[in-house]
Parts: sequence; structure tokens; C-alpha cells
Amino acid sequence: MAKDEPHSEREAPEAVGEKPTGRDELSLRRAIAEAFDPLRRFMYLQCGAWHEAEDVAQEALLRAWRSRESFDGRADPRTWIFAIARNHWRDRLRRLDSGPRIQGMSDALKLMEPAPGPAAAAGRGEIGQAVRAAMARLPSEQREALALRESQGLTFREIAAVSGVPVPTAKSRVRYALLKLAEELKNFRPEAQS
Amino acid sequence: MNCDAVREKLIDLVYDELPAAERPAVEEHLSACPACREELEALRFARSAVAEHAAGEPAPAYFDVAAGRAVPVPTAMAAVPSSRRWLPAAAAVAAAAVLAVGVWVVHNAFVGTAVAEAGPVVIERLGVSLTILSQPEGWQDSPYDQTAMQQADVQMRQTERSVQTFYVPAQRGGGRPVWRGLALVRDQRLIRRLPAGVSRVRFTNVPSGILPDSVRLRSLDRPDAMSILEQNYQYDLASAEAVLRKHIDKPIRVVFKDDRTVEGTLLSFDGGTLVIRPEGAGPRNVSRKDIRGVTFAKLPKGLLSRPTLVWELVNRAATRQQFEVAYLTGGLQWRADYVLKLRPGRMRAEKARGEGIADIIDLADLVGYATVNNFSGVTYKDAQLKLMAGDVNLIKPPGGVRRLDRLGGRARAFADSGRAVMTEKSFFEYHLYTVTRPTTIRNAETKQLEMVSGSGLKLSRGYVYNPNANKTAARVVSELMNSKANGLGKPLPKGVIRLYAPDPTGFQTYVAKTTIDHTPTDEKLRLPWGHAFDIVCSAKRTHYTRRGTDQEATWQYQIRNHKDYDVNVTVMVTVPNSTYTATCNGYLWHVRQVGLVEIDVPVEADKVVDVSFTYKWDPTSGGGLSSPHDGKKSDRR
Repeated sequence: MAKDEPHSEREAPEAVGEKPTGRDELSLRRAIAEAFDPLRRFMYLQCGAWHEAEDVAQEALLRAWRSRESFDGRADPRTWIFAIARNHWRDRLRRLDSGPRIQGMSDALKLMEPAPGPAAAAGRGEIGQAVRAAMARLPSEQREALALRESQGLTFREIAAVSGVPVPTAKSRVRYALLKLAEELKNFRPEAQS
Repeated sequence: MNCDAVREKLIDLVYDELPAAERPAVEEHLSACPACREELEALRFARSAVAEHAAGEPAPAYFDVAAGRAVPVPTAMAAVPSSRRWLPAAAAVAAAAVLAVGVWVVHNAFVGTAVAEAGPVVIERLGVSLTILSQPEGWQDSPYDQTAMQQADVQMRQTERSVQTFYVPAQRGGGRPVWRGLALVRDQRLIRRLPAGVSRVRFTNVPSGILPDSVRLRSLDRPDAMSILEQNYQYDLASAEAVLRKHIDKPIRVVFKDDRTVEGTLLSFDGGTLVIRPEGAGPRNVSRKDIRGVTFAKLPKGLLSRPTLVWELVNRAATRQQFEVAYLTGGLQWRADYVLKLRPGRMRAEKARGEGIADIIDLADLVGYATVNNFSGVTYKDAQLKLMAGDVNLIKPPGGVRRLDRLGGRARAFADSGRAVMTEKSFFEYHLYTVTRPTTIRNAETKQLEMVSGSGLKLSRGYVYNPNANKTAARVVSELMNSKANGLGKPLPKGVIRLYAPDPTGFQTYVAKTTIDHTPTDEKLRLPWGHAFDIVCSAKRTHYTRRGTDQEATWQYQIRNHKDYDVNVTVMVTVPNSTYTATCNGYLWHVRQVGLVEIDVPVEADKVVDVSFTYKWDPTSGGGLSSPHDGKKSDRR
């Protein structure tokens, strides 16, 4: 677009396909719109149910949009959005945990209970269910780190920023999560079976 | 590099974040160390398993801040291959869509979960079609009585996801709400990976008014590969009463409105009181009015948050399968509502019928709506809506989908309505109006859809004096020919019609309401509106004699027209069935049916007319009255 003209660079709407900076409202709006798909993947990896994931992602994005005044434009907008989503998810879990149990009927909690275990699922050849079950058994901070990583788009630096931990911690969380999964899912590995 | 140092770096390698400078050293070590290689393989394997797990299922969507929710990327634009790196291609498309277009329709692809034994399987909703049977009688604004509704609201805390399914009224005498109306729902869903073998599938999005014996599940892709072992409908809902019932003799915590709390064992409860025994103290009555909430230790087993269908089925084809669940449910109704607006002024028909005065013609515009009422407890998103007109015999318990077309009943021949909004097709003895666009019908919603319309319709107005019904006034009756020539010619399902007429300032005023029956094209619609103010009538018997079995009577009718224009009044005379001769003082009369005679009486403006009608009958004769004027029969009732 008008990138070549220095005087108009800051005013020009960003070209489609470029990473939104979030500095103006339009750009932030774009960042929020684009965040939906990775965010619901993130949530799906956390809770294991798409509809729940979509709900949480939707609410988180709505929250982000409402508190757009608080975004200072220095951070990466995606990191900011993911951090809001992560906090929203944690709030939600806490609410579900503490509230009267009649509210605890939410699918999220049911699904968060460790499923029957990967070995049982392996017998049926259902790797997807085994992954889900194994994910549910990960410690929450490892699951979160892995979910952020696999939601398609976040680097370790960004994960560290979202979770508020140093970069090496983010890395080792993902690493331990993967190693644990590999152990639990070893029956599905082609070479392990031979 | 030693093994520990390399293993720190492996995670970077897996995610392509290893700086190029460090790469050769790591790779060198890997080629020499099988243990580290194995760890790298394990990491890569786990990563690909997770990535596959999370990839691809949902359709691309983006979040629309204006709408406050996610909306799908249109399919034409979403034809981007599912890339590992979601940005930038799909994002660019989505972003372009945000900039270019405002708000799209809401769409939620995922509405139910089936819980197979090993874990959840995502069920994708493909489409739902609703066929609602017309049932204008017994129209119901809500299946719940208001107090039960309030009680339910007070007692239930609704979760965010399930607001609409929690309208559960308090159980009173074990009664369930009365569901009027009947609809056939065909819900098509896709289960991508239903495991082979025996599994249990739960469908939650089920209306409370469902007729459980009408439920049929079948696989559209592999009907032969699936058989149903068991089908259960569970509706022991987690209503407040049910939860309380299950907590008798168990500890609960009561929070009062002033934030005090009491913990204790629940001994008993009724609509107004809970009896609680706190630890180490005597029982205590607690009025439910003072309570803000009750906390339970945990939700007892066996209660569901919403009505649920549970199937145990054997599946022999572990592939993606499309299923159809078809069932009949109450709580969905539709009826036709018409609005007829008279235009100012009136005309005269070109020809008088019989002698004297030509009929008054009013010009009017008609709009017909289908009013759809959903209290089934479920929202049907983007449903294909079909409205069935005709009277279905509901005496037999509806026993399934297939049986619908065997039900007896009465229906009229409706021709093509020819409108874009709704199309009409005949179906056995009934007629289906299909709404061409998908429609979302929310729970507890009344929706109106335009069905027919016609403008400049000619209504011929007449007055009917029936002394048996009203001794002093004549009824206004309009007749509308439902024909193409008259600007309509569309099938009109049974419903309520409201008449609006312009007052002297031209303002449309609601004047009358009546019902019409199913009216096919080229049939006459008769609309009785009420009684005429300015036409005063009276009737008296002036003569009666009896000779043997022969009897004779004379009736005098007087009609006074205080209008400033001429009218035709039809006088209805009830005569004994065995009447064999009759005479009238110069007015045309007809035998409408056995025992009923109609006299056509033209009355000029501000005139008084006297009609004298004499008839003879013999209770021993077979009757057989005929009028000399029957050849000039008018078709006015």
C-alpha cells in the first residue's frame, strides 16, 4: 500500500496480509478478528470440547475489545489477546470450582476430569481420544504452554509473555508436556509397535 | 556438546526456532547419540499427535467485534488449505472480510456432543428441518403457567450455556407442562469418528416436548452398518426440586438474603419451607422466601441438566457417518394470521343481483403471515422451516416419522402460492409451505413470516338479518373471492383475520376479528364482521292458524335503514322442515337448505321496509318447499 511514502505510513490502513500492529483501532480490530481461530484451538487443547472452546474464545475476544483502551500499543496485540484469554479461562475454571455445584455441570469441568486413560483408548485405536485423555492428565501449566504453542502461531517468547514466565521456563514446560505425551502415547508410535 | 545441553535445544529444533548457528553442533551430536535421537523423535511424534488433534475440525471463522461474536468466513473465501501456520493466508482473507463487510449471520457449527465410552466425539450439525403442523385452535402463548415460571426462575441459577433449557417449571403433582402443537424435526448431524463396536451416544439438544416414542435415529451413509440396541429418553432434569429431593438426609447449606448461612441436614421440603437440622441442634424451619440460594455438596448422579436422548448402538463402520435424528415434538405451533385493510370509500357492483340495488363493493389489501410459536425448549438455528396446512388427525398417538403420511385427516387443495418467501407443495392430503431461507427459531419466541399478500381485492358487502341470532340488528358480512381475477388466488390456511378500516381522517382503525377456514383458490371467503349500527330490524309473528294437521304462520319483518346509502339485507327465516308452501309480499326468496329460507330485501337510504312471509306446513308431510325465485338464485347466505 502506501508504505513507500514515509509521511503517510502511520496513517495508512495496514495492507491485508500483514501482521496487525494494534496501534490504531482498525488494526486492533483486525488483530482481534484474526485471533479467533488460534484462540479457539488454544482453548480446545485446554478443555477438549470445541463448543466450549468457541465460547471461551468468543468471550475473551469480546473482553479484549471492551478493554481496548488498556492496550498501550507497545506489546504485540496477539500476546495481549492471548493473555486476556488465558486469564479469562483461569477465572472461569475458578468460578466453576468454587460456585455452587449445580453450576458445575458445565461441560468444561466434566471434560477436565481425567478421562479413562490412554491405554483404554489405545485398544480402540482412537488416537484422538488418547491425545485428549493424555492432555487432560498434564499439569495445568504444561498443558497451557503446549496449548499456546500448538494453537498455531505463538513463539516461545510470546508464550513466556502470555504466561508471565521466563522464556526457558516456557520452553521446558512445552518440552515436559511433549515428553509426557510421547510416553503416554507410545503405543501409537509406528516404530514402537514394531 | 553433551547430551544435557543438546536436549535443552531439541525443543527449539522441533519448533524451528533453533538459531542457524547452533544447528550444526546439535545435528552432529544427534547423528552420534541414539538416545538423544530417540528423544527428538518422541518430541516430534507427540507434537504431530497434538497438532493433528487440534487441527482442522472447525470451519474458518473470525471474530466480529460489532456483532460481539464469531462469524464464519464465507465458504468461497474459506477455501484455503488447512495450513500448519494459520497466518497469513486465512487471516488475510478473514481480515479482508472484516474490512469489507459488516455483520454476517450467526452460525454455530457445533451444537451437541456425543459421549462415546472413550471420550467425546464431536458432532457437527449439518442442518435441521422442521415441519410444523397447523393448529390454530388451542393456541398457546406458553406451556407454563406464570407462577410456575417465576418459581422456576427463582429457584434455578442458569448457567451461561444453557439458559434456554433451564425453563423448567417446578414439579407440581408430578405434572409436566402441557405441550400444544406438533412438529416433525429432522436433525442431521455428522459424527466424524464413531468408533466401531458398541457405543453410547447422547444427544442433548432435545426439546422438552418431545414424544419419545417417535424418535428414530438412522445413519444416512451406512444404514446397514449400524443397529440400535437401546434407546432411552431421560428427562429427570436437575430442577431445583429434583436436586432437593435427592438431598433429603444429606447436608446442604442455605444462604439467606441477608448473607447469613445455615448448614445442616435437609429433612424435608415443600413449596414454601425447608426443614433443616443443623449439626447438634434441633430441626428448624426455613421459609424459602428468605433464602437467596442453596448450596449442595455435589450434583447427585442420575440427574441431567437437560432432556437427553441416549442410544446404545452397534456400529460396524468406523468411518464418518451422517446421521439423522427424526422425532415429533410438542411446543411448536403455527397458525395463519391475516390483516385485511379496507381502503377508504366504497363502490357499487356493476350489476344488481335480482331486482333493485347493486351490492356494495369495498376495496381492500390483504397480508397473510405465518405466526410460528416455539416453546419446545430448544432453539433451532438456521432451520429449514416447513409449515403444514390441513387438519391432521391427532387422535391416534403419533407413532413415528413414517406413519405421518398414513394419518387420516381432512385437507383442502391448495394451489401454488407462487411467492419467493414461501413455496407451497401438496403432500399427501396436506399442503406444505416451505420457507425458502433458513430461519432461526429461538426458544420462547414467536416469529412471523409473510405468507401471502394481495392488493386491491374486491369485497362485496352485505347485511344479514337472522332474528334467531340477534332480534334487532343485521350482521355485516363481506365476501371475498379467492381468485386470480380478484388479485388473490392463493391458498389461505385456516387462521385469524383482522379487519382494519379507515376512519374519516384516513387513519386505519382495528374494527373486527374473525377466523377463516382453510380456503383453496377459487373459493369464496365469508367474513362476518359484527353488527351494523344503522340498520335496525324487528320480527314478529302476526298470524297463526291450525286446520287439522295443516298449520300456517305469517311473520312480519321490518327493516329500517338509517344509512345515507342503499343496502341489500338478507333475512333468514327458519321454517319447519315439513313446510310445503310459502308466499312473500313481493321480495325474492330462496330455499337455502331444508328448513332455511332467505329473503333478499333491498332497502333504500333512510327508508323503512316491511316484509311479510307466510308459510304452511303439515307435520305429517315430507315437506319439499321450493321457491319460484330459485332460478334467480343469489349465492348470498
